[in-house]
Amino acid sequence: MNGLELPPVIFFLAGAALLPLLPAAGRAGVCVLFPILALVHIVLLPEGAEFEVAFLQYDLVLLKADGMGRMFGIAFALVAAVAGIYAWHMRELRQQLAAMSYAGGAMGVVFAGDFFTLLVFWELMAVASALLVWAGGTSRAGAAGLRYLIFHLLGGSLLLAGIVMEVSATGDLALRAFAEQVSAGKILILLGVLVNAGMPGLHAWLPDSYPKSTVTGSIFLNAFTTKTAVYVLAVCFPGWEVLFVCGLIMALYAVSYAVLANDIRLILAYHIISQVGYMVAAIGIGGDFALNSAAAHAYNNILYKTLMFMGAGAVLFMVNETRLTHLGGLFRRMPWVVVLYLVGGAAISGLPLFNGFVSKSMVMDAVYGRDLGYYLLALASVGTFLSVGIKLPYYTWFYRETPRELKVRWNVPANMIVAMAILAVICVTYGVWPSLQYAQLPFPEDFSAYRTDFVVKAIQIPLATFLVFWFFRHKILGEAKIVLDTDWFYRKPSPYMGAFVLDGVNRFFGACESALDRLIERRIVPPFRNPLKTLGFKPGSGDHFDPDMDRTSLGSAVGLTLLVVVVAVVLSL
Amino acid sequence: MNRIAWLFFVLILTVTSVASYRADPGEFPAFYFVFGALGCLLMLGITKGVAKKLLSRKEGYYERS
Repeated sequence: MNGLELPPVIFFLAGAALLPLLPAAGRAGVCVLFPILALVHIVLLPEGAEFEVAFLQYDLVLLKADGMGRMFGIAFALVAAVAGIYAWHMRELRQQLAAMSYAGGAMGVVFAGDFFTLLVFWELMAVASALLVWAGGTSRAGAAGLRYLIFHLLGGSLLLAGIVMEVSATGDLALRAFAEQVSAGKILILLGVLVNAGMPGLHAWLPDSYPKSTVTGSIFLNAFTTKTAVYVLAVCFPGWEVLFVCGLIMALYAVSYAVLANDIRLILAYHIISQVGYMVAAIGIGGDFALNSAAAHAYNNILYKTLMFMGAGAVLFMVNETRLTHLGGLFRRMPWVVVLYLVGGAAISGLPLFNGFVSKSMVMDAVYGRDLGYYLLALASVGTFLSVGIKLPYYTWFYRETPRELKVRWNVPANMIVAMAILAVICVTYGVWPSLQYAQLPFPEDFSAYRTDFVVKAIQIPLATFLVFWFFRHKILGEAKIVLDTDWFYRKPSPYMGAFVLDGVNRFFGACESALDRLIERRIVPPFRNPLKTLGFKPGSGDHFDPDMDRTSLGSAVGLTLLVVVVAVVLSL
Repeated sequence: MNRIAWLFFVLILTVTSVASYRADPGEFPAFYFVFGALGCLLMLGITKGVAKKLLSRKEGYYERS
């Protein structure tokens, strides 16, 4: 082993350990420097490098450098470094610690070579990310963070149960691709991973919590949890047909909610699920090309979606408001943010010359031939452009004069603009020179995205979508309302369930406690209040010991002492 | 939108349609434009029409219950 064969997670954990020891300015530097070091380390990692640690009778593989893990690792380290720049002005130690630990957990997952290591870092991510949700500081963020944590502990428990069953059945702890033969262990592992991927039905934690985090917290949240789930699906469940169906459902379900949503960070949160749907569908197809397309789309999605969350975060920072119905006309106050956000919007919409075009074309090519699936994903891309390509920027930055009730800050911090610019340049670079991306793919690839049919589709669909939007633009905005999702099934009954379960238990224990208090008050306390009366020495004394009335005389005390001395002397003879 | 923007719009549609026809004469050249327009109308119809009526609630819905 040489120095290069260390797990990249070490950089993040070392950075997190260093943070409490440093002044605020130094902490911001650590949050940028250590991810950059990790990025360089990952790029230099030799192919096939491993780092093992003996634990009980197992060899835990903390580092297994392969193409898939390296691609995700590079994206994570890159986005963590840029997010560190974006959060440069933020000096809250708790958030910085949570963010570094969270990024470290994600890094640990994508380089894990066995299920136990994966599980440890999986849980680290769950706890650290919940802290980022709680950092929102509001009562809503607190409640959402708790729901988030419950969901992830549930997912982690499913994963743990599945791993235990699978390892006890096969004796093999190694992270590996499962054959498509259903077993209880595999199903539990799949369900545990799908919780983190945001499969509809198991997804409500995501749109519930991400929009309630801080300006900088949501940047980190958007990048790691769902993408690590995509990585695990790609490694363990390639070619599982059920994932193709799951992917289609995710893409369409979430994009429909994004069209309905009124909060800009909620729109983006739903789009995380929708975009992950493309990746999951490709993984469900299986094969080198489809897995390449899923990895490429995950990589690009991490970049452009982070850029878009940064744009939304800048709006929140400027006006402390994220509802489209309360925004508008902010273009002149933050022109650079708008331009840079639109790069992300173009990328996610798959417009040519942006990185999303390259990876989305790959996914669509992988899906091509499955007619219904192909057209459903194409329909999802219509919703994508409609909601985050046009609706979000139009109603946020254009549409009307800035509402008077908005209190607009003077400007967006330069570090936020710089971070967005870095990501925008990367998005365009991969879009203009896709060969840079092809060279990173886990499997050798000779694909070309710039084919006439891809380009035509990528232009005509947004063109038509824009036309329809323009005609209906005064009707699409809607009202300041929320849209019910599957969290209704546990959030709505929760007060009644609380009344039924918790209040009943509380009342029972309250009654027991009162009865015990009364028993103690009546039977146990009185003898201690005046032991002389209880023992019958002073029949006429009161309930409470009174020193003036109940204290024995000096003569009695001296007599008692003499008696004790005499008894002692007699006994010693 | 002003006239120049509309002109640009039509120009892009024409160029892409011609390119599509040259690449595959058997396919309708503006297929994805029509698909996109119908898909957008369908999505707006489902979401803004049906889903919104069934699923939208006032802000603070959960906090009030």
